[in-house]
Amino acid sequence: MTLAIPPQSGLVRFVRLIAVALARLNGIEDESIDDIRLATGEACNRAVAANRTAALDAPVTVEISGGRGLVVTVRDRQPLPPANGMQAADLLRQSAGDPDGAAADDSSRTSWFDDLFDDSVLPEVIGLIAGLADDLTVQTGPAGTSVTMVWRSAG
Amino acid sequence: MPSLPNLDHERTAVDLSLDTRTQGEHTVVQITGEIDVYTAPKLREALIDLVNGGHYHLVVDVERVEFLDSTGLGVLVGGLKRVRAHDGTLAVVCTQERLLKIFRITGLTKVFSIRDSVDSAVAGS
Repeated sequence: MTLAIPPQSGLVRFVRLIAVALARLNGIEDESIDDIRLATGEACNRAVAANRTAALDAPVTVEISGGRGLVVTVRDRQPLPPANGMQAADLLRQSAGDPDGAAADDSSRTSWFDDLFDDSVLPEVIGLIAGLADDLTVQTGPAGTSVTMVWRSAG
Repeated sequence: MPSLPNLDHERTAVDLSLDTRTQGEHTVVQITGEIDVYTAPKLREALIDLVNGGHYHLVVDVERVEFLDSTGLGVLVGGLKRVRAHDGTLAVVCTQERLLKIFRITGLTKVFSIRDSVDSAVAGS
């Protein structure tokens, strides 16, 4: 299934709900459901912010596929230099914006992570997603960024 | 003890409610619902109002929180920074494993005092 949502944070909830529903349909164990819900939401929030930072009205796309587990790929359209892995994660941190102004004070997640993490750790939401998914692939490029999260089925 | 801002039973259109009460020298903020990028500003405003109102010893009870994302964590960190600026404290009450996991992954178990009950949080600081 592929979803395309306008870059609006309020719509991320629907994606979370759909991801959970598809996870259950694909037999994902209960203990992974909360992880899928959170990680998918984090990836979508990041992508929405990326498109808005780049002043793009283009949709955020979410591909969810099942099988022996669940694979969720979230794509934005913010152009970035081509990179993957840690290098891509660094690029995402440097390009992170706050188009809604929600993080304008010292409670911003940027300052929070600046305080807590150093360069040896995957930055901010990517680090959180990495802790929630069984496998994570991040790729940046001129056409945007893709974040692919994999949860394997025990069966 | 300063008077409490009028936060009682505030509810956004998207299922976040905040109840505040005093317990000893502490102000307890009980959160019910989902804390995400959409609802977090409500919590941020509430914590700012409390600190601006002279409430520097906060206990944030997330036992009734169904969902918490990094935006919500950022708001809690912001609250902690604010009370610390006044030599205050902010403890989190949480026994839900799915939420504790998020605190662990992000390293915030080392930042927050995480307690298993409001009474424990009030007694521990």
